[in-house]
Amino acid sequence: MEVYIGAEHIISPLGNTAEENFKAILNDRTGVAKHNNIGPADEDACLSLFSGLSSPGKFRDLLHQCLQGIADRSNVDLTSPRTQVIISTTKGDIDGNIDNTISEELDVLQATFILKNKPFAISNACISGVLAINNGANLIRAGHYDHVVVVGVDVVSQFVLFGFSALHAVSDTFCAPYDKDRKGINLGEGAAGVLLSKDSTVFKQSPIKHVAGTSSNDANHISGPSRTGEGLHRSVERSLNKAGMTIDQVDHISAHGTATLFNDEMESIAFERSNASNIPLHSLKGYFGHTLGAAGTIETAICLQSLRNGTMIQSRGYKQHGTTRPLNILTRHTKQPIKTILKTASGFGGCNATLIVQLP
Amino acid sequence: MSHITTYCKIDSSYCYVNGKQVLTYNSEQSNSWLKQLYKMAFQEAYPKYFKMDRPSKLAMVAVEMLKQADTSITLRTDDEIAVLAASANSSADTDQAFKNSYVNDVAPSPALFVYTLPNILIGEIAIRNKWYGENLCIVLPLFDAERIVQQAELQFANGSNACLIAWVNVLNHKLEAFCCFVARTGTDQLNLPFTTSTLHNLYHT
Repeated sequence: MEVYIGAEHIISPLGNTAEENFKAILNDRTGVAKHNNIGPADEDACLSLFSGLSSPGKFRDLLHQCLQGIADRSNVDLTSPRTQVIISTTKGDIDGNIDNTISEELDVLQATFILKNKPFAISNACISGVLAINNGANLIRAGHYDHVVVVGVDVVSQFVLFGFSALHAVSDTFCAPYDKDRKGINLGEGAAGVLLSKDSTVFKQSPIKHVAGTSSNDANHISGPSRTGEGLHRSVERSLNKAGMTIDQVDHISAHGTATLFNDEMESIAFERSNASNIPLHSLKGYFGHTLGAAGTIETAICLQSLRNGTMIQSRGYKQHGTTRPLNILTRHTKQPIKTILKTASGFGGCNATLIVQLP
Repeated sequence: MSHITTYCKIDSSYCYVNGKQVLTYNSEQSNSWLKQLYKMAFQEAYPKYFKMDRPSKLAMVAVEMLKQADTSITLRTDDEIAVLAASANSSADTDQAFKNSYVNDVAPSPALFVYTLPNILIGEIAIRNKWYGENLCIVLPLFDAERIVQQAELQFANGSNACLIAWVNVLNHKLEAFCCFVARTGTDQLNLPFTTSTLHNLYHT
C-alpha cells in the first residue's frame, strides 16, 4: 500500500503557508533575529519568534490554526472515524497550566474540531515531528485509519530558553550548522503539519509518497549524542532497508544540524558510516531556528516543497567545514530535479529518527 | 498471538510484580521510598539512578523487576525491543522543579532541565540495557488501553519482536508506574493475551 503525504502547512515567522515560507527561504530571509538581554543572566540570544517570548494560549492558537490550514488544503473529514489527529510537541502550552501542558490541549482540540478519534501527542524531544509522521504512516499501513493529520507545534518560552542557556547550548549569533565556528542553537517557534493518507485523491495538490521511516536509540547518554553516531546510523540503515533502497538512491538529505559542537559532529560520523558523505545535505535551522517539537514537521514540509519545486535549499550559516568527517553541505540554493529526500532528526534521550519521502 | 510475559505496578506505598506485592514503603527507615525501591530492584550498584528524576527512577525500578521476573528479556538482541512510554502528566513534575530553580533569580539548573521531557526515561532504560531499538513516547489524557495496545502492535508490524510498555505518571503526591513486557510470540506462561481488555484490567486492579 502506498502512503501519500501532502497538504503541507507552515505557520512561522517566515510566513503563513508552506509556499510563503519556501519563497521567503529562496529570498534568503530568516526568522532568526537578535534579542538583547533575554537570557537568564541577561545574555543576548538569537531567536526566531513571532513577537516576544510566549504567552499562555499562543500554543493553542498555533495548533488550531495549523490543523485548520491542513484541512483546508485537502478534502479530509476531520470528524470521520477513519481520520486520526496526532500532535507533536515537546512542551505544549508550558506557559499555561504547568501541571497540564499537553493533555488539556488534546481534550480541547478534540472538542473544538469534533474529532471522532481521541487525538494523542507524541512528545519525544526533537525527533517528535519525524516520529509523528512515521507513526501516522504506519497506522495507515496497518489499516487503522485512512487519513492521519500530524501537527507539530512548539513555542519559545522563558522555560526553554533558560534551560538551553543553562546547558550553554545557546548562541548569541546566527547559528551555523556544520561550520568550524559554530557555537550553539538558535531557538525558534512555529507550527507545521501534513496530511498522510492511503487515498491520493483526498489532497488538493498532488501528493508525495511517504516511503518508510524508523527510529533508534543511541543507548549512550541522555543529553550528549553518541560518539559513534550509533542510533542515527542504525535508523538510516533501517529506513533504507524498509524502503528497499540503497543510499545512492537518495538525492538529498535534510539533516538535524542544530549547530552544537556535539550534534553536528555526531551526524557527520553517522552519515559517513552510512556512506552518505557525498549526498547534498543541509540543516534548515538557520531559517527557522530549532523549533523542537515542530522541527520535524516544519522541515519535512520544506522537503515536500523542495520536491515540488525541484530545488534543494542552502544550509544557511555554513562557511567553513567544521566536522571531522566530510559532508557535502549545500552552499547555495540548487535548482535540479530531485526525487528522493532522507530527513533525519536527533534528540535528548539519545533518540534518533529518519524518514524517506519520494515523488511518485 | 502476542502476550504479556510480566508486569509491574508501583504507587506511593507499594510495588507489585505479576500481581503479587513485593515491597511496602517502610516509614521507619530513613531511606525515601524511591531509595527503598532502588535497593530492592538493583542487584548491583547503579549510581546514575540518583541523578534521575522521579519518573525515570520509577521506570528503572520497574524494568529491573521485569527483567528478574522474565529472565528471557536480557537474552534478546539489542534492537528487537521497542520501548513505548506513555503518560498523562508528561514531565510536569520535573517541569515544576526546573521552574522553581530559576524563579526568584536563582540560576536555572541544567541537571534538572535535561529531564524536562517525558521521553528521557526511555533514554535511561536504553542506556542501562544497551537497547538500540524503536522508541516512542506519547501523552494521553488518561490511561487508554486500546491506544497502548494499538501502538505496541504497530511496533510488531514494523519489525520489533517485543515491546516494553512504561506508563509512568508522576505529579506532586501522585506516583504511579505500570510497566509490562510484551512478547510477539512464544509461550503465554501467565495466560495474559495482549488485548485491550486484559491490559485495562491489569491496570485497574
